[in-house]
Amino acid sequence: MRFIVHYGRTFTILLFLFPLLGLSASYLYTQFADTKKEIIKIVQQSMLDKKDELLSIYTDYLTDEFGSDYIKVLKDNTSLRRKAETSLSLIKDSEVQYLYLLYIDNNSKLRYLIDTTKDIDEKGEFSQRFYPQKDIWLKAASSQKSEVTAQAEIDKLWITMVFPIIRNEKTVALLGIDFSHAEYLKVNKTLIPLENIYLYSAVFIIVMLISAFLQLVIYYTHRKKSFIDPLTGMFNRQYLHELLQKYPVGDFQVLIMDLDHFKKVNDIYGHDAGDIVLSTVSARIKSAIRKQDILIRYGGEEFILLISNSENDLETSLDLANRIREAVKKEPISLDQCQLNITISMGLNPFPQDSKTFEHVVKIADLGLYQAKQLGRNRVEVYIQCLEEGNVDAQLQICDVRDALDLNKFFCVYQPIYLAKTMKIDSYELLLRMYNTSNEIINPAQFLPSVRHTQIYTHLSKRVIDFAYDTLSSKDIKISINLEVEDLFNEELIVYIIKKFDITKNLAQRLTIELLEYEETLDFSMINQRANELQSLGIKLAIDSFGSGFSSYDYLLNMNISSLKLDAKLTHNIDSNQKALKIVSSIQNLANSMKVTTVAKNIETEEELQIIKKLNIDYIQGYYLSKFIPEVSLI
Amino acid sequence: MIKLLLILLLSIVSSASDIQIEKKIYETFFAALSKKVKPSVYIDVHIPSLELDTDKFSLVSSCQKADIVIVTKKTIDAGCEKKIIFGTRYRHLKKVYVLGAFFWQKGRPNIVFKRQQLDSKKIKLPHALQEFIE
Repeated sequence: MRFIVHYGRTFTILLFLFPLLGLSASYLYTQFADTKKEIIKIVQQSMLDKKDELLSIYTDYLTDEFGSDYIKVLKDNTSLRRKAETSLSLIKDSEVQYLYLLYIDNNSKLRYLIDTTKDIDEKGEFSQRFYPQKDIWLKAASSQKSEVTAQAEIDKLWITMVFPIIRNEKTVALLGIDFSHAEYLKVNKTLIPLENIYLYSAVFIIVMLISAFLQLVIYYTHRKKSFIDPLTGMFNRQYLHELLQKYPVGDFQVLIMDLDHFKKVNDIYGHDAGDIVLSTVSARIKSAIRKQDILIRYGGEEFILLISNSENDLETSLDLANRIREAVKKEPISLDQCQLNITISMGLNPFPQDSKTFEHVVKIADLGLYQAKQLGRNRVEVYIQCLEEGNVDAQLQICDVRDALDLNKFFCVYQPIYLAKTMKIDSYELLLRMYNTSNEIINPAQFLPSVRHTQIYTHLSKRVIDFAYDTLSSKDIKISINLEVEDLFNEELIVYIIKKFDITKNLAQRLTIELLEYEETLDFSMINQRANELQSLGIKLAIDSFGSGFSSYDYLLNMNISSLKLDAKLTHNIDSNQKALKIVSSIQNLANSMKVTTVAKNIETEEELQIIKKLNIDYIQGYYLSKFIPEVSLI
Repeated sequence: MIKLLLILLLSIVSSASDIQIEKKIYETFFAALSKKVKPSVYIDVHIPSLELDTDKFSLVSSCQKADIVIVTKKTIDAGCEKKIIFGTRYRHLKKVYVLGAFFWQKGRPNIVFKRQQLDSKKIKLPHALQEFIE
């Protein structure tokens, strides 16, 4: 599986295809070599047939000229031998190197009778013994048929043909023809251009294939490297992306892991120390997982372990997670001058089949991770999916929000907040908006639910802080931003705000954070502590949507709140809703007594405005007074 | 046997250079023709195969000092006729004093020993070479 993901299916196919093509090219060439041999064989046979016919004619001539016992006649008469030699020479052409007639003596030895060779050193003299080196001479004598043999050992010769002369059913002489090797070279030379075309084509194809193969190897090696995170040696997000294109979402349980307080390590000891921690932790995680598990560095200090869903039940996966947790914290990590105790929090999604996308599988695991962090870190949590997420169609997916964040698709608009007494703008509420892929403007109700309790939400909150900081730096106005009460538990975010405004307290004094509650808050000591940290910078805190939610009055009781923003359900249609009028009136009285200002939002009609004014609400905002305005329109 | 010797020659042909083959053949003859372990050989012209390093024979500068004389020219030096004289062409065999000849013809090695000379010099060839006696 990993091989296919590393190298891709195309590479695997090519791995088999290339040698096949190479073999085909080689086969093509060997086929030609065989054909060439066949052509030479045909040429050779044609040459032999021609000479066989001529030798037959010559023996007939000898009979006609010297009588049937011409061997004896020629042996006895030198001049007749010369005549026969001259006649035999007529058969000799460029194909023939040597042409000679041998007789068989009484001891069955071969001796020259006639030799047409001109070179005196090469010419066999009459009765000189001829030493046959091949069986064909005796074979031709005994079979009484022409025999042919190749002369590979003798440089000048190509083939030798032996033609037997038979008298009274007895072989009395043998005519020998040694064909010139030059003739073979001539035939071969004719075929060389064609052979070269085949050879060069085959070589070209093979070279091209090797070259293409090497290119592919280089490409896929680089591709493989691009899947590896250089610091930890783990697979990276790119690999995960490739993996998920090839395997269904339900194939893997997802364990998402995040180092606890890692930011502090980077901030206090520096990034080099952070890198040491990351690589050490990576090694420890690797040592705890199994061969079939796929470990991925998902983000800075965030890792994902893909656990094959086919063979693991929840218990096995939890055991694995706890094994990792134990391995990470088993001993302190040594830095130059100190030792760090590092722990890891984990969220497990053991039900990937319940999600449509991998992003959703990760989100569920991420929610588990969030729970693990909330419950004190160094633990594994499994998030049980709730029905509240049923409205997922209307909401953006987590990946859309992450992409928008990466592509800077977030921006903010401002809604003026008026001082009721003067009806002049006192401050602005900063509201986050997002462009979707169709460049339509999306409001937070559509993108926040999918990322709530994830790191993306923290990033978004930081982005809001950045927007506010930039606006406060460039404009002399007051701004309020919205955060959730749960954000006060987010140490990373609080640290970020403090760091941002610590040295620019003049900016902090013009900032109000409106806190909105989505879940019941129990730990007010922590909230108070964080609120005090923010307020020490000069930041004011307000309660948004007061009059709804879980425990709004708790905030008044436990915290130093500067303003209450009335819930829209109370102010909307207040002119015709007596109960709402009475509640708002009592809240105003309460606020007055606690020296807390009030803000009425969502005022959309003149009637609502007049009632709100009569109730002595301090600040008013709503479409009736002003719609959202872009940053450029701020005074 | 003759066939075996020729096969040997041909197998040498296929695995060694022509000069090495010739040297081996000459060594075989010299061992058969002379009783000395390392006979002295005289050559009247440059013969590369006989000038290679060997412990089977040694070259001498005058034919009078030689046990075996290899001739390539038409005549031999005076006083050498009684030596064991070996020709390098078939025509050398026509000289009475030539005992035998080794030569290449039509790309094939040829060996001939003259019975008369062998008898007069009381040389008995080993069985493998007797096939070449004429």
